Amino acid sequence: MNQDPIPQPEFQKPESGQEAQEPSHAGLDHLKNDREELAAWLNKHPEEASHLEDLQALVSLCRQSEPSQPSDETWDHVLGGVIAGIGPSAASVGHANPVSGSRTLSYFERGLRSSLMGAAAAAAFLLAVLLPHEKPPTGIEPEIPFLGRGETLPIVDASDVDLMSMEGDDTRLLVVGIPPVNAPLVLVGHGDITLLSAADEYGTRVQMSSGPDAPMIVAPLSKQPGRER
Amino acid sequence: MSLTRSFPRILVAMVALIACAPACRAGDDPSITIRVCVVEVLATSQNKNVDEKLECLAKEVQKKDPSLTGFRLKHCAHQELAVGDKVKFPLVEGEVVEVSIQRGPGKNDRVQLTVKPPTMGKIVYDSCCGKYFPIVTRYETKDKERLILAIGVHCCDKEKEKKAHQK
Repeated sequence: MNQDPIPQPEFQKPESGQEAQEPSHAGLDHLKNDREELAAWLNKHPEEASHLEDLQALVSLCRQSEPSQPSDETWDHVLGGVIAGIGPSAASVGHANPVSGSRTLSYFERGLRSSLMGAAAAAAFLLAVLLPHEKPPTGIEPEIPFLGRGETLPIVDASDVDLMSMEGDDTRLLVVGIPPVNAPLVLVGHGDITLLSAADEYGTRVQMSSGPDAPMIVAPLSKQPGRER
Repeated sequence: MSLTRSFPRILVAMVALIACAPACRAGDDPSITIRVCVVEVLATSQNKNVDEKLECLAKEVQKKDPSLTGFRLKHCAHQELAVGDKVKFPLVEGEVVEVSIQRGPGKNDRVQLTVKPPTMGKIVYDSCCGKYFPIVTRYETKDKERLILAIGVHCCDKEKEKKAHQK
């Protein structure tokens, strides 16, 4: 309703064909306006009027000296050289057959490329060998206390270490030392032990098992006080 | 007069004898060290895995309680003690066993000690050296494993050890 009209683009794409060659009515009006503006401007600046003729002469010269398009043979020659430079895969894809000159050029380029790569590898090797390696500053070099420079780290043997406590599962991981229990347990027998007194948490007397078996104390699982075993 | 002069010397000698008396009890040879070893074993009825070091213990305990089929060595610790020392050995789930030496090995090579396991009262006994005394406690862990303690006493003669090291 109250929308503004959409602005038309100032520049229009030139149309091909006969319509493009024949100036339209709007184009003639535009040209006429340009000429009127140019005449007004020259009237205001008469000192520039002398350059107008030179400019028109230059335009006509440029139109006369327009370079001619290269022939199809020239285009084929250039295309063959480009395909030969890209490689054989491109050559197989391309329609043009490379001529013998471009083959020579490709061989020369490959040789040059290989030589350059070899030279670069040799230079890198020489740099790696000849350049002095950076050493860590001696000030922050880690030092082991009580160990002189060049001395090896002394490791304890089994007689030097006394393991006081250990988890049962960790004994097999031990590298040096003897675990607190390193052999099957030997239980006391009759005559090896004398029970003087024993009681459970409630003060009830607990007796040592008797008989031919190894003596031991077995507390009853029952938590009721007063049960004697 | 002479008796009056020698009285201080006699007094000093008597005091020295009284002071030295506790350290000269029978079986308190200072050259012999007592090392108490506490082996913590967890027994279960949920498996039949028996630690090779506990085969003898498992065999004897199963005679008392056949439901216990799996025995594993949870923890082991040992400590050198003197007569009168009292030490707490940490156990599973924050429990402790308290061990104290009442008397050192005498001529019969027996040590008297007091043990206070969890869920039990004090146990006082005389034991020979070099063997373990099993105590099957009432304590069960959260995983329904029963706590068994094996208390061993080892007596070492320091002078003999020194001579052995010198050789």
